[in-house]
Formats: sequence, C-alpha cells, structure tokens
Amino acid sequence: MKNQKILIHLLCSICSLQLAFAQQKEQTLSVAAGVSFLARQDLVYSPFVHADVSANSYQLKYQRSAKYFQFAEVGFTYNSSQIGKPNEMDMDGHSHMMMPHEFLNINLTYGFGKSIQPKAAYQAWLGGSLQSELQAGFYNFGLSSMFGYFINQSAQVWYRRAYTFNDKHTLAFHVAVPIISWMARPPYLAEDDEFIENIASHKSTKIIIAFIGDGELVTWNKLQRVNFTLDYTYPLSNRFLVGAAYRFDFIHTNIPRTLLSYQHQLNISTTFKF
Amino acid sequence: MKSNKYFIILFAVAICLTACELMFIEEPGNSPVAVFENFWQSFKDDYAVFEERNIDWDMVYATFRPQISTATSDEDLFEILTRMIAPIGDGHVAIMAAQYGAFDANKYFQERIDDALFDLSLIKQNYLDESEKVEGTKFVYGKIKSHNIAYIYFDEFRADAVKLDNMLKDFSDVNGYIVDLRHNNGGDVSYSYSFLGKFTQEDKFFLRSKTKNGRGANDYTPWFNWYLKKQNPYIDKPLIILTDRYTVSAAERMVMAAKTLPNVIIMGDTTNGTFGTKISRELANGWVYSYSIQKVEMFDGKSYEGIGLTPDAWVKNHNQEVHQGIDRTLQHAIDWLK
Repeated sequence: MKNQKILIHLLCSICSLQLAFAQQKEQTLSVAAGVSFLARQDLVYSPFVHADVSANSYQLKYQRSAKYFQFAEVGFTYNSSQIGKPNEMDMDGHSHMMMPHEFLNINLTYGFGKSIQPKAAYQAWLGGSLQSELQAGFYNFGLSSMFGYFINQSAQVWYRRAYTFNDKHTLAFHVAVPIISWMARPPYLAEDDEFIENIASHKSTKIIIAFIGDGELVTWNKLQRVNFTLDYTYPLSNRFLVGAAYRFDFIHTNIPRTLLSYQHQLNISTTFKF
Repeated sequence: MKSNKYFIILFAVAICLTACELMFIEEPGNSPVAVFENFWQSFKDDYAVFEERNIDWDMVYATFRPQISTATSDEDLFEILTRMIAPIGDGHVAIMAAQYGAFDANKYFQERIDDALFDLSLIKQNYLDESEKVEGTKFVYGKIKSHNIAYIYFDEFRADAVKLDNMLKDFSDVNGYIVDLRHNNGGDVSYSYSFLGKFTQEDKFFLRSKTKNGRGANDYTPWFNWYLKKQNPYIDKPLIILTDRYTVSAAERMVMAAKTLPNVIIMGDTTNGTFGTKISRELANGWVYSYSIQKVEMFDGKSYEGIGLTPDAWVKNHNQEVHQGIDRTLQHAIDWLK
C-alpha cells in the first residue's frame, strides 16, 4: 500500500513536472552585430552586379517560448558599392568625388508558431509571420543620383528546428518563405510621371506611402523570396548566452525588371534570458 | 545520427546558396568594344526623342563601330562616345569620366555660348535694393532699386525653390514680379510650377508626357496629363519670366505652365528645348552617362524638343552693355512693369 502510494505520488509528480515544463515560459532578448555581404543586380538602375562586404549588420530580436512560440525582430544592414575605382573628377575647377551607390535594408518581422516536436534536445516549430521591409538604394552617377527601392509586406510561413547537444550548445535553423506579398517597385526606367507625382510632397513618409500605394499583390510566381537563418548559442550563465548567426536573404522578381539580390550576414550575438 | 544527417544537408544547402550568384544576368564587359556596344544599346533601348531630334541612331552605329577595336585607348574611346552624342544636342545627354571630365551634348552647355550675357553679380549690384535683399548660396530675391517690383533668381529647382513663395509673402504689395529663369539648370520637376498656381483662378492643363517602358521603339506609358493647380490666395498682378538658352528642363516646364496664364509674360531668349525626364547609367569602366526617357508635348499638342520655347517678347543682352553694367533683358522687364 505504501509502495503504491509512493508510486502514485511519483507518477503525479512526473506528470506535474511535465505539465510545468510544457507551460514554462522562456523569453529572450538578443542583440547581434556583424558583417553583411550583399550582391545585388537591379536592371531598373544598372546592368551591373553591385557587391560589397561591410561591418554594418545589426539585429535586435525578442523571442518568447511558452505554449506558443513568438518572435519579433528588427534588422538593419548597410552596404556600398561602386563600378570601377573611387575617383575624383575636375568640374570647372572644383573637385568632385564620384560617390559609390549605397544600399540600406531595414526589416521588421513578427512571427507566431507552435511546437510540433517538443523534445528538449530536438525541437521543431511551425508558424506564420508578417514581414515588412524597406530596401533603399541610392544610386550615385557622378553629379546626379537616383533613388531605388524594394518595399515589401509579406505573410510568410516558417519552420524552425533546434538541436541542443551536451546540454549547452544549441544549433537552430529557421527558414521562411512568403505566401503572399504586397510588393512595391519603381517604374521600368526608375522614374516616370507617376513617380514624379509620388515625390511631389517632398515629405519622406508621404513618399514611402505613395510608393507602397503603387505596389501590387504578388505570390511566388512573381516574387521569389527566402530567408534562412542558422544560429548557434552557448550559455555563459542562466541568464546570458553568446552566439553566432548566419542569415541568408534571397530576392528575385522580374517586376518591372529583374531584381536579383543575395545577402549573407554573419553576426555575433548576446542574448539575455528572462 | 538522423539529426546529423539533417545538419549535413543544411550545410550543403548553405554552400549551394553561396554559389547562386552565378544566376546573375551577364554584365556588359569592360573592353572598348563592349563599352561601346553597351553605350549604344542603352540609347537604342531607352532614349525617347531620336525622332524629334532627327537622329538616325543606327547610322551612328554604322559610322562609329568600325572605329572601335580592342586596341582603342580610353582617351580615344571617350572621344568617340562624345562624337556619337554631340549631334543629339540634348541638354540631358552627357557622358562623364573622372579622368576626362564631362561632355554635354548640348552645344550651349558644352561651349558656354553667350554664357557671359547673364551676370548675376551685375544684377545684385546694379538692380537690387541692398536693404531688402534676401540671399543664399544659390538664390537671391528682393526689390528692384527705385521700383515697386520684386525679383527672384535661383539656379536650380530643388528645396530652394520654396523661396518663390517666400518672395510672394515678403513682397505682397509690389506692382509686379520678375522670376528670372535665365541660367536655371532645371532640377526637380515636382518643384517647378506649383508656385504659378497662385496666378490662376482655375486649374490649367499645360503639358502631357509619356515615358519609355520597354526596349521597343513604341514602348511607352500612356500619356500623362499635367495640370497647373490653382492655389489661394490668387495674385492678380503681372508676372514676367525671363528666359535664355540656358533655361532648361524643369525650368522649361515652368515656362510651359506660364504660357497658359494671360497675366504672365515670357521675356528674353528662346529656351534650351530639353524637356523629358533624365536618367543616368554607368559603364563597366566607371564612366557615367545620362539621357532623356520621355516625350513631352505642350498643351497645344506640339513637341518643342530640340526647338525651345519662344518668348512673348524677344530680348537679348549685349556683351558691351553687360560690361557697362546693363542687363538689357531685365531692364526691359522693369520698363514693362512700370
């Protein structure tokens, strides 16, 4: 009888513990910085591939793992690229530096998902996310310049898998693809009458909204887009982890002309767990 | 072991992703022949006004292609490209190389013909009332000495163009206004004509334009109508706009808008004749170039590309008078408004 009671208590304890783990909430906040490699060809502005490596890759990410898995992240990268060597040009006795093209990428993502493989050592999640991104290009051609953009709001489906080994090292990959997107791109030759009308307010927010308004709904047949992340973390303490992350972003569309962009980021991260 | 297999696959995919850069569309080459071909083809695909400017671009290819070989030097190549575009005469067509400077296809800009006939320092010194002058690096406005007339000059349509409205506010009690668009480089079209809305009591259609949107000779967007929108308060006073051969692009569009208004007089010399929106491109050797991608017609249904807009009153400065401190065109405007 006593052994039966002990067994019942033990079984209940195990069940309670499991229930507690299942509902145990874990929140993390990560800051990452590192290197961005961009190779981009946008035929609206140039037939050339603009490639650059820069130490301007930043990311801030909040993650919450409980009954559901949620994350919110904001990322920023900056690259610049020039065809030929940097040069100074003499214009009417004044020296003018031929500036490189500049590329600024900002993205905001919110994701929500559910565990489909809850084992502690080998977990997997599946979910959806909303991503909003602005990729701005400042194309400098001597004394004149043109503004380029790829603005995209997409509903994505994502899959995440994480493996913890030796109770310390965690390696996870995350892949997301859009299901449907609202994509805004410039006109065929960068500027037309509608573009000029859009910039007539000379107010940045109004201009961006006008550009977005001229976008269109696209699916995979018109916009091919993939985000892939591989990240590694190692705990220094119960609260702090350090890690590294590789991120790959791919864009391809032919609207109105081919844009093909590959971006690789390699970041070092610090994570605070609470 | 299963998890190791997944990660090996992941690693392989990651390596393959880096090789995907091979999917880029082939770039134009950097040899003299490739640069020539890229340059010529860009114009063939995108330039909008060959017909208006009477240019047979295929003939240009036939003429100049035999002069290019793998042995052509950079200097010779630049010279050949400039000779290709010189007959176009378009103020928006130019090529620039760090080591050779810029070449403008428009003769006035390239050779600075009659450049000295406009002298802003002469105007500031001899015509503007010093006590009421407002000046920046690229603009000046104020009252004409001993006359109740306001005057403004600015060299380009960009953020400084808001000074037009400042002038109207600062000098609301004058008898008339002079807007000097001589030697105005154009610029941001979106700044170029809204100011005139205060000189009309109804919206006015003043031009239409269409933009190349494909490689075919007839690949254009539909015509887009541009309207001068009336603005309050209405200013019922005469306005004189001064022009010369250096009045170009966005400045010429302002003149087109002004031509719809009965209380506005255009005075001076014919404008440059360059109306379409300009874009820039780059070559594999780092040189950059520009050209027009639009056809533009004024409200009368005609294109003035390569012709320019004639003034209502033709006046041209004389060199000798400029040396004597006299701006004949500005004086004519002042006399008109007296």
